[in-house]
Amino acid sequence: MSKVFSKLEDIDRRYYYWAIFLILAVPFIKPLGMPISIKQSTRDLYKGVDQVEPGEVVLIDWHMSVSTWPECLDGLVAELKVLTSHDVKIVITSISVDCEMSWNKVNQLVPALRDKYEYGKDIVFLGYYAGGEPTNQQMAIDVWSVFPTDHFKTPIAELPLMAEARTANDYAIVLTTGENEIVWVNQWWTPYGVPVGVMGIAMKGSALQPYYNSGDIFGLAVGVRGGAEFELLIGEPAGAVTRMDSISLSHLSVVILIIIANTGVLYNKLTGGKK
Amino acid sequence: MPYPTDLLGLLGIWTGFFLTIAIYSYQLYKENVLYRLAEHIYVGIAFAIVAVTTWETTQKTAVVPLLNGEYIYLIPLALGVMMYTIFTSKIRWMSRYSVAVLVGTSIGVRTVSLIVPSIISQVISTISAPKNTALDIFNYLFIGVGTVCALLYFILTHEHKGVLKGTAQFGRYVMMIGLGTMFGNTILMRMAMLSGRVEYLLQVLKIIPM
Repeated sequence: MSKVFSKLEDIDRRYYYWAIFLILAVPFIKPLGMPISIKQSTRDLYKGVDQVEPGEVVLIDWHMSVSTWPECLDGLVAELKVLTSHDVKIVITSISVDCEMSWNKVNQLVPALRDKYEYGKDIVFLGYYAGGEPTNQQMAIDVWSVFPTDHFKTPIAELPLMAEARTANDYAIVLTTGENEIVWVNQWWTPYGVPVGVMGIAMKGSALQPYYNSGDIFGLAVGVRGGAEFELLIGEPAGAVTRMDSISLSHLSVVILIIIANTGVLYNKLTGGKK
Repeated sequence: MPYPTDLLGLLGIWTGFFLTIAIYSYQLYKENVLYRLAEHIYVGIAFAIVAVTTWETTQKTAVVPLLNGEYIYLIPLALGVMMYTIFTSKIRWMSRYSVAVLVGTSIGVRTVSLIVPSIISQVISTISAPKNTALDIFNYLFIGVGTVCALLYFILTHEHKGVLKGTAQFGRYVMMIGLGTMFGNTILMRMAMLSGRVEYLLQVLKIIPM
């Protein structure tokens, strides 16, 4: 018996990695359809996005690079589907240098952006900006001063949408994707009262919860789980719902692997064996 | 996105496939030449994208306006150039002015703006009366007591004994739970990113649709 436990304790970690790697793949091949409950914070995010009136302008900020797509992209796509169905005007900014790839991907995944929306009039992609929080503050005063041109080098004065979306007061809400949400709370919500909604990364879920509880963020959906909840709310389960199966299964396996690995340690401690 | 049929498209997705395998070969096998190659390609490409984007942004927001006669942009450009003097020991002192302006501006902007959402709102939210359900009341008490106890843990001018011993210990546990939750969320995120790569590999192999 002790030999078995000793072996459990000494399993090469690469076996664990292989197990996780393979377990993650299974639900993509055969979705399990695990149930997903919807948190109130995600419902509030959906409600806030759904309530934007046609013709109003929404600013979407991406702190999402290509590597974060599995975490954030599906939720962003679901948000855009709601906004485009309401004919809401959209301005997109980003602090990720590879934002053009995200722009191309989003245009592939949200047909309305290609078919229904006219670039410059209904949607503008301003692209990357540097400078951190002072830049967000300056954008609240005058977006044109931060972006003399859009991402495609079109002078901002030639984009009809930007004439009506020049200061923070011209925007109905701000939606953040990935990170960088607190700077918008600091610079757009607190001084100008522009509500901020977050489709964040899972890592920051617990850090953002207090801001949601205090009402500084009107809605909060974090990680793949948040994206899956949002997809269910709009009635179009897609990538995030499938991915949740994969993640749930992998987490279950991690818990089992932790138990297996620690069983050997505990046994040896209790029996005074291997130190 | 449909599975590419043109040569460039196929080359692109299969390059991605082999680079992904090469990167993960470090964890799934051991350090090897392919891993090193993929790592260097990744760092090189990432640096190139950052360099090009930074140059384009500087050009768009400062160089072009300067050439159009807005000479005020000389100041930020000069401060930016001075930042690079950090690499030359004789004139390194110049970079301190750039850093001072950068730090001073950031502190100035943030200090004013974060007091309301990050301090006042949080205090009000913590001491606001609970809602009706038993869970709300429990959360209210737990957050209130936990916050006070966590702060007590950082009283370092008095020895942690008597009342302070138990409360500081409880505060320590509260912080450990908080950090554990953040770590759990981090694992969740990493797992999501890994799932994205796994999905990509399956798509390239045509096991699932692209």
